[in-house]
Amino acid sequence: MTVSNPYTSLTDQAFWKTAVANRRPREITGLWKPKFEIKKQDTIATAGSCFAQHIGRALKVRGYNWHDSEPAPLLMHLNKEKSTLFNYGIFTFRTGNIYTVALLKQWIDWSLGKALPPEEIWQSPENRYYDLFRPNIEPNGFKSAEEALKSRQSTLKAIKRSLAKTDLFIFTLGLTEAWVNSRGQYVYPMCPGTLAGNFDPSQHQFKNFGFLEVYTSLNTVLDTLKTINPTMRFLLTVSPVPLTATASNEHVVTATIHSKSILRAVAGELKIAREDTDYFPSYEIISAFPFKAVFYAENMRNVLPQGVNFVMNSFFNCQERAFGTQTEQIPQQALVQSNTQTSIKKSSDEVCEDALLEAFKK
Amino acid sequence: MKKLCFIGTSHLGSVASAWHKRVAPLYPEFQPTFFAGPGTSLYQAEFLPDQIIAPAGSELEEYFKLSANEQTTIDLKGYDCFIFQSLDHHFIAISALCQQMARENEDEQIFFSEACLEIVVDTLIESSPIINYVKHIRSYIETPIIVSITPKTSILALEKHPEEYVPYLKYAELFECLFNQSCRKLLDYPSLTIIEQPEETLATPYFTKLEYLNPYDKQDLAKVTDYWHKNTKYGKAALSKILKHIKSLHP
Repeated sequence: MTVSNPYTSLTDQAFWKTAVANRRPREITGLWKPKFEIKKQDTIATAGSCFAQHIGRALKVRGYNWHDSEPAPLLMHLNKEKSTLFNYGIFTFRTGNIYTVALLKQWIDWSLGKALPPEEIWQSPENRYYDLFRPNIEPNGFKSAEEALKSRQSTLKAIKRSLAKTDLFIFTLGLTEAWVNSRGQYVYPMCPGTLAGNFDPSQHQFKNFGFLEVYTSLNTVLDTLKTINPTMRFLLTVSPVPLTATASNEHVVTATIHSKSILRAVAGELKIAREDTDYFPSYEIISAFPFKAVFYAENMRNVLPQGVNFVMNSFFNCQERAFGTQTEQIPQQALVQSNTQTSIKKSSDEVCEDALLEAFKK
Repeated sequence: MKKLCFIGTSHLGSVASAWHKRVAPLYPEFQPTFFAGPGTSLYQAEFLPDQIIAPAGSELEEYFKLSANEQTTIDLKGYDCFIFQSLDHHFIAISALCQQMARENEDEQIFFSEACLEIVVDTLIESSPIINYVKHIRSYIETPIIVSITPKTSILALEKHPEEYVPYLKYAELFECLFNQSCRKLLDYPSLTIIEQPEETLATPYFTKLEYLNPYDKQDLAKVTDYWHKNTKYGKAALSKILKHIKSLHP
């Protein structure tokens, strides 16, 4: 006799035996049931910890309209290496990594004029100037404090402009640990004194954000973004990259699990609480134990390129399974850039031929 | 008799015209050959040991034949001096960049650090075809090389389209400085001299006097749209400066 219960009608994916056991890591698929379709013409912004750059890059390659709020100067793309060194085209905003939700909130609030950024710029012994809120944005710092502040101001304006047109905001949560300035109540991306700045124990304090703080802060950020663009939707991910180091006085492994568990829980809860928010499980695809760490490099921290590919293929496959295939589209920005360059080259070549023919005609 | 090898873009046209029409009788000790190709055709060259060749069937071959009396091969050991006319400021690209930096609406202006702009200018100069020719020549022989800088756009452009040049003029001094700095860095080879546009041809530090413009037989200046290329008079001024320098090398 078959007894009916809620589990009898579930698909194979709901059962460990059929979804995971006896499967190789690459055979474990379909982890994401997307809430909404991401269309190629949607303007997409990506921000967050370093793993977020893979998402932006993959979207661009697949012809999605990934938005670059502060493109590299015209023709700098000829030198891709330098362009990357100057942090152009990596994230939608030229902020460098945004590891914590607190830092994201700070950038958004500064860009919208809800708070004033401090004029804190560090002068190196070599007389170069570093913005402590994005210390490696330029490979050798700025030539003056004024230049560093002007550059930051330009980024804040670009963030504001960009948010107004963003349809989908993808944020990768990275860390809960941060260093804050106890006097100014602002948060740094890196501990002062590591990459730039001087550590001052009287004002630089360690802070490990808890679940409620992260949840409330991120929820507030998403609400704020809705005030700029009421149709904006959000996709949250958690970086599978473990902590480089912890200042929590815990072992780095337990500190990592603590931190990632909070971020994963916040993302999951926001997905449930908000209709406009979804969660993509890149974190699980790389770090969940059924995947046997096959996508990590030997140091068990860096994610291998094949891991990134597997994650991004999962992303696009899950979208396609839910909403069907989309037609190819060339991003508007690429089109404009290519047209500009072609017309520059065309017009200069045309006049050059005239000049030569006139000079050397027989 | 000193054999001179002029290699260059369309800006070599005015120099060649000046030689043929005016200067040749004044300098019987020099025998120049002009290898010219427009815009990007110079990239088509093949670099072989001791030679630079315009490939058969290429646009460059067509232009080398036209400008150098049917010659399509530059024999590196056959000359006493190599002269490049000319190394571009990449005015169009720089001007487009200035427009991004100086948009009317302040909120839309984009700021780039000086270090970043330095990379842009380096990249532009590195992408000039002339750089590859210079590198190649210098890797095989020690013959003197002269790199002459492209003349600045005519003041007529500014007079006819003053609004268009507002952003450029705001940053012209900065880009001039970056260009000079970058040229010195990227062309730092022994026996290589950079020759600037002749002082007397400049109307302002950033524009050339109207009298040096090549109007291509157009009497009405309102119909002129090419403000870059210069006439034989300019060619003569540039050539005099170049030849004077060569004479100082071979007294």
